[in-house]
Amino acid sequence: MGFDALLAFQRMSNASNHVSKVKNGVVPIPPGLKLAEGADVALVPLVPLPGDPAFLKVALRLAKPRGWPKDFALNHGHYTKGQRKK
Amino acid sequence: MAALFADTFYFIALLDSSDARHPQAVAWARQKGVSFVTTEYVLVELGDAFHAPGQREEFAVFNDAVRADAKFRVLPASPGAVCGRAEPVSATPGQALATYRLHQLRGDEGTPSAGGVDGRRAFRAGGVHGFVAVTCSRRRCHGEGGCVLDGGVSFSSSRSGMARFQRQRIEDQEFIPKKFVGAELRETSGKTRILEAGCGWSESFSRGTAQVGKGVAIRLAARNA
Repeated sequence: MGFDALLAFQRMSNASNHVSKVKNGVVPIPPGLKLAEGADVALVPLVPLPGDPAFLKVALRLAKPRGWPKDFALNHGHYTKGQRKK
Repeated sequence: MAALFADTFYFIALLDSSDARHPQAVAWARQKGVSFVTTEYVLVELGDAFHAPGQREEFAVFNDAVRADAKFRVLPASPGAVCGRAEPVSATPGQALATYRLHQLRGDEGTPSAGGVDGRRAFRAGGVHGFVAVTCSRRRCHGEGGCVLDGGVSFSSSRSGMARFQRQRIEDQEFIPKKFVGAELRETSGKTRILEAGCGWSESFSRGTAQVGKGVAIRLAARNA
């Protein structure tokens, strides 16, 4: 069973994000992604962890693909109210 | 401790694992030394996004979790900050009474949504306004002694005296960066307040269960308990 994890490069705010799954204790780098030797990589497990805030544990249990646009969070105003996209 | 304002943006990103911002939302939740501030208006808007059958129960669970978490502070809706038409928009028998007030809050007058994902009507046609003012020394202030935060419900209408705040919404991107959930606030104890405005409807968000839109069950914690 896979273990979703986010690999983030650069700063989180504008990172290029790639989701990978743990296999045999290793997080494979997504195909096509080339990283320089020594590049910093942040790992964000997308499953509840001990010590997570209670609301996050609940959120991660509930989180699933919902069939919404990928940018629905950022542009929900656009999709539901017709506002300009951000 | 720094407080992050959690807008609807943040919660949707957190609950939709396929959303482009989901990983960031998770990472932010794990930050040490921060707490979150949100509003009942935001939670209502989130409930509207989760209006579909099967999602309503999920929303109810998450709503409870947010309210119970010490990391969160949920600012109650302001009595009087909401005004709107008196009649409910749903003609469904048996729903009218239960949904009366929150249908007002939805303020649906039938304007089609431009590009809505599910064909829902637009939120914005009504005369309903939810705003929260939080004093903040680090950001530009928008009058009334505080920065105006997105209450998350509805911002349109020229009927209300709150219309001026619409033009000063947080979406000026100074207060809420595009990149993420919301503004970083320096919450000063005793200076966070709800901006009183609007007209009528002084019984908003009372204890109990009400419904939004197409019947989103939203359990409203008893703010007056």
